[in-house]
Amino acid sequence: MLLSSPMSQLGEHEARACASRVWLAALLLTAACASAEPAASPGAASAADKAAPAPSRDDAIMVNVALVTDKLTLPNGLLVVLHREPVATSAYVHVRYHVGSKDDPPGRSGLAHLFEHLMFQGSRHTGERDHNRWLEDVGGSSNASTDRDSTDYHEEVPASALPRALWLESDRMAYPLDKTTEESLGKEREVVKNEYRERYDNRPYGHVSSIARAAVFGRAHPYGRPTIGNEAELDAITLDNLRGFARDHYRPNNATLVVCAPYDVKQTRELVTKYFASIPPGAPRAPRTYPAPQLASDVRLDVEAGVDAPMIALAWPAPRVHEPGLQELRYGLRYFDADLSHRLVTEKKVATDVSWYLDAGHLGSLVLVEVQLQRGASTDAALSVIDEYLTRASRLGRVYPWRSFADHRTRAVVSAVTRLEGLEGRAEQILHGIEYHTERETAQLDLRALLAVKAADVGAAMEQFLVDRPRVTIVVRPTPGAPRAGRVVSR
Amino acid sequence: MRLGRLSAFAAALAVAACAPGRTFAPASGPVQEWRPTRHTTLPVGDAADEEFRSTPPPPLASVRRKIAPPTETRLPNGARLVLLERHDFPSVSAVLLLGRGAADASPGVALTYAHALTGDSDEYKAGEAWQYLRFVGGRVEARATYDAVTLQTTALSPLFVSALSRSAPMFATPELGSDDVERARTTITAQRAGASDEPSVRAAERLTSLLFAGHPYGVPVDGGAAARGQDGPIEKAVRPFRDANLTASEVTVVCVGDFKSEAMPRVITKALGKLPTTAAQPRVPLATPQPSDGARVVVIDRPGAVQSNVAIGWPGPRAADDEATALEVLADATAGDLSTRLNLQVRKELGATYGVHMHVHTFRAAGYVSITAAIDTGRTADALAGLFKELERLRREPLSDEELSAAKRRAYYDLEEGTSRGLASVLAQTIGLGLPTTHLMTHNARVDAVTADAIRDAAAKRLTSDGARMVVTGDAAKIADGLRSLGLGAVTVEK
Repeated sequence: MLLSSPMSQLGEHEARACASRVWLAALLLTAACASAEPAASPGAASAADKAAPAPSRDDAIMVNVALVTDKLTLPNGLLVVLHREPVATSAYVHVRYHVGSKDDPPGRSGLAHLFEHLMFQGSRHTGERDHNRWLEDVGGSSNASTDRDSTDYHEEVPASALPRALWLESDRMAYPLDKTTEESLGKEREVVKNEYRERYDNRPYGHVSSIARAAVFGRAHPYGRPTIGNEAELDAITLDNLRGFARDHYRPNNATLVVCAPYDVKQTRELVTKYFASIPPGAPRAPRTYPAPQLASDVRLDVEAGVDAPMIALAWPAPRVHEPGLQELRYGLRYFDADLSHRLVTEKKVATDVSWYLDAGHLGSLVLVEVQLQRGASTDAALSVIDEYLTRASRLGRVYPWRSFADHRTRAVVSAVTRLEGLEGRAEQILHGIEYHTERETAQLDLRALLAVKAADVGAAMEQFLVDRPRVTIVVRPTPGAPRAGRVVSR
Repeated sequence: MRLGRLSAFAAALAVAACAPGRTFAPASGPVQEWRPTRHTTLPVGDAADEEFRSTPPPPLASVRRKIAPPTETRLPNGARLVLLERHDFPSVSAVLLLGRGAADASPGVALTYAHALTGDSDEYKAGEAWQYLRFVGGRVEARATYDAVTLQTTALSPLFVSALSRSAPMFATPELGSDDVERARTTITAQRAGASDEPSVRAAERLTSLLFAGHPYGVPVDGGAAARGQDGPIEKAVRPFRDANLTASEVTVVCVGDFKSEAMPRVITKALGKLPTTAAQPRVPLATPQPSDGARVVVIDRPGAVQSNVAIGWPGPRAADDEATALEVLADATAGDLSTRLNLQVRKELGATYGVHMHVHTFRAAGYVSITAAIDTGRTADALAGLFKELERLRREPLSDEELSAAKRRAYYDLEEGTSRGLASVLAQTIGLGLPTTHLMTHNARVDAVTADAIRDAAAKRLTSDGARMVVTGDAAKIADGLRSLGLGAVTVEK
């Protein structure tokens, strides 16, 4: 039964406008619950009187979301996705080039990321002003990021400045590096080196994740290198390297443009066509193949670092995005993190933090668990607790029941829906669909995938991908005089 | 033997009772990278120089949306209710705010209190409440600032009242039992241990201790390493903090999102039904803080550091002072973005940093202005000399019209955008600082009123070399001489 639709709270005019934006059609609880608790919506007149308790915990939750888009592919191969949000007062433009640090040439790690920096120096028609300045002049802002598979440029501007944002993005797509000289390259290289120092080299434990990545994927694998590169290889990058990279990858047929704006789709489409349709494509590039990342056996790495307290990091290869088991692994890691944190941080007080991340990519994924210990804590004792809790997590819903699983699942679904509140979250969801769902609209597909996970499968995924698989174990020991970021001393 | 068989039988039963779970096919063999396969009809080549690209396009028609200002009312129990209705997205966020914070208590007490709020209440055990909150997808966050303690609840609108039914009792009737206080203490102490080694955190915290010597604003909200290192005093003060401060007249509820305003007073009144209504203890006025008259430049020595984490600060205005707006625009002109003076100087020209940041921090009773950056060790002194030269220029010359306009655009705050959670948080911060709810609505008009002369005057008054305090976490052997040459005063090296 339909419990509540937000559209019921809007006037007729606004309700019609909703039809083309994120459409949260129904938040569906079971019939019994809904009929018992119509007051769960604060918009309902009787809300205050019947506020709590609302739905019972045994009820299922279902959310239907439609992220309405209009797609076109220009003659040069640029895929354009338009999303109209009638009530927005700003416009969001996101260009993703399907190139990342996996495409860094040998001996030139960090090139894709350095290239991203250089794209802000201005292009052929921007005159003396750089890219940011043109946007800041109208109260807009922009940023960019590089990861292993893609490089993203995005800007948010007052809606009326949408043509300016499209003009700027098209100019740097058509004439990348036009403003880059040996001198400006040298300066930006220094900026990137300082970014490397700030984020990794000058931070306590700053190299641990790179060490884990290299050990899981191997240095020869394109995911085995850090996206930001290293100082020596950054120094080796030439302007010719960068121009070749632009020719190969910064082409409309290797990019996707997402525009979220309040204007009608026809108007936006005309603007996009004007600025992007005549940019010539690049030569098509055949996809390369790589061996699936595998660890043949356990790897133990001892790391020394000029820090106060020890740390343990565990890393495994994991299924690629949307491969079976990845979603289940996410649920399991969330549970494991909370369970282990409660044990080591709250109860035993031997750790200060437990964290994990699952870095999922096209060529492979990485699970990294980091346990930051208290000064003087025993790493061996902590490792044995970590293993015990990994085993516990692998029994979830299998050896013993996981009664609160449905609640965890609901929370994950609601978080996913909430991420669509802003234009940025919607653009990211759209781009996710382009890459991982063969260009279909996917918000609902992803929610269904979250809801389809079963408790027993979570335990099974933890067992198959973590407990039963070889892993990389990194033990960081405080060592006076060693680099704070850490260095490997034995394998 | 019999026992073993029995155990095996029991285990078999247990396994049978639960599903074994799927077997996931492991990835094996070669993996192909993903590349878009797009049909093209244009020939491959380089872009021609098209005329229409040479000038920026004109803007489209401006899109504005009239946002009703927040409305304000008093609940029957005396609590204040601030509502901002928006129907962009089906979510609601409510901040329950107690107008007492870290500056009104001993070091570390307010934050421990905030963390302990998420435990048992008179109405629900913590485990039960959290399980229910997960079920309805509610997000609950506890925070403390120098001036307030807040508990924020965010949920999809049809489930908001349900989420609030479990979170509001945490705020209104917290039990603060020893288990909950101990959990809070452990969490905060662990976070403190993790932060203490971060070079930028070390510099920033030492800077505030110099700017607010002996004052509550000079102590981190968590109480700092010294307070967290002792067992007992903070924990014993948590319940008295509640008893002295938690009363309806000191509470403000801020709700933003997809709801009907006329329904909300009843919803909140019911949710906070058990909030005490005893007379509040008067707030003790804070003394006017004074900077340390001892150390002016401190180096926290980190031999071998490849960067210097620099934090420079000056005493600043209170949140309610008009001067705060001029300084905000000044900060946005100086290091608000990549095209601003200090970033053009230190990042773009020298390549000596990834970024320079300038912020105006305002509290109820005082404030400060800070500049922070992580600078290449070898170029620390040169970069700082350039930075101080730019500050000197700010004190002497007004900003150009172009710089001023750009800075104002950066400083504008747009109530039309943002999430329910974000807007509720910003509104609550404003109220926590003792400012009227209209403060946000009139922010852009105050920004518009700032002149280039006002900015120059604010720089001349505040950003002086004499008034500056500086802390650098870095390699003292390599940077101390250079710092001395800046002429800011004696350089003290600390471990």
